[in-house]
Amino acid sequence: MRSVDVTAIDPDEPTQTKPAGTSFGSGHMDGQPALTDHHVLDTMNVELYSRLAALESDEYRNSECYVLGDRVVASSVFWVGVGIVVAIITLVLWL
Amino acid sequence: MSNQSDVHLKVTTRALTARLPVLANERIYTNYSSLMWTFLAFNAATWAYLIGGELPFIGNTKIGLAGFFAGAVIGLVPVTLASGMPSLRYGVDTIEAAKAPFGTRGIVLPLVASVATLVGWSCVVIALTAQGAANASQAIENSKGAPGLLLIAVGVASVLATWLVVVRGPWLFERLANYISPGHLVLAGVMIAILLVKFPLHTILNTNVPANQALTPDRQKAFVLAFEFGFAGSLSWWPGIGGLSRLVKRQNQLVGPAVVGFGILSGFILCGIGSFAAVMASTYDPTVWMETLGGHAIGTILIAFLLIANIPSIVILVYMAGVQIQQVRVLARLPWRVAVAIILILPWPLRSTRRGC
Repeated sequence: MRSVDVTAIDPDEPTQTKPAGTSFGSGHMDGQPALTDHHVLDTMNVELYSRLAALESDEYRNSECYVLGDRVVASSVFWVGVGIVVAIITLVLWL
Repeated sequence: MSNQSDVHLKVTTRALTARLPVLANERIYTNYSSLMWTFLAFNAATWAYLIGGELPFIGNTKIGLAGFFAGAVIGLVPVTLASGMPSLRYGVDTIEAAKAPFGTRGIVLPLVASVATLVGWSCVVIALTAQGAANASQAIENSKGAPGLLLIAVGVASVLATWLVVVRGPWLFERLANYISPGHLVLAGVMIAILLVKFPLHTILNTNVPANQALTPDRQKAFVLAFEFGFAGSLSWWPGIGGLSRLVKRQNQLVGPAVVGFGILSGFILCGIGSFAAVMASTYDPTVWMETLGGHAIGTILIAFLLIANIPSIVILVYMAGVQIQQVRVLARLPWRVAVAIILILPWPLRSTRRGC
């Protein structure tokens, strides 16, 4: 998971807290209940680190998101083959 | 318990509308068809018919369509694997994933290009929507003057509708696509039926643009040009495919929906209809040939659906631009609704300046 640039989000600041209801990052949506201080995940950094840790977990590493799907290669080859066949048929029939 | 679920919902919402990695249990595309419908809705705006309308100018409509399809399908596979797979695997946006090869400074170049492309295309589709409504209005009223007020009203309504959908997050456009995309196929079926009723099949298949308007009389060259057009067009989807792939749950359900949605349903069926209809009606503009071929009543209904169906395309473009601009630290701290509003409103003064010139 080295492609996530942790430093670009908040390179200098230590983990900090913000009062509930303040706008940070994004994702505030209409009609959602305001959250109290101890329920709000403090900053984007805290959230990011917890997510990076989750991505490193065994549970995630064994999930369908992470493990290479058994049909990925086959379907890729199939669709490239379809394109090549269409190209050949066009060349043979109409050119 | 309630507060815990509130926190979870809030965190999930924030992840889906920000740069944060989206975890497996937060992904919204859990089956083949929903992703395929979203890819179709994304690519089936007015531009699909416009691209189709341009294909005959290669010189031979049939060869142009076949070459475009072959190029599109072959191009979609590498771009899906290169852009979609890293985003799916780590739940991050294309730009985030592309930092591995580009570096944290080098990523500025693709970031600027991608945001400019996404915002630029959203402006184009909004303009096409407004212009389409004006064309339909002119045709209905048999007037020659452009209805300026209607043009502005439809443009503003498109922007507002887009904002309202995007601020709700990707859940809403996933659901909208499940209705809009099948509608596109129904519209395609109606257009095929109209063409077949009005013209014999062999005439449709063998009519080309006049020779003096064709890019080349050489069939082989025409095929190569069409193939390149399709292939290059597919490669240009890298920000789009990556941006949506972070919301997909299973690797097995990525390549197929991308090729079927982008390449077959949109790139072949919709572009194909656009090609043949454009040649038969002698205009590349779908809002004109739908009226010409379908008549006032059916044509107006088709155009109305087509214009409404542009909204999901704009929504997805703006959603991805909204996620990507959060690479800039100042913009990352803005509330999602403000970031989206900036993307939608910022290009307007530029357009006004341009028109003033």
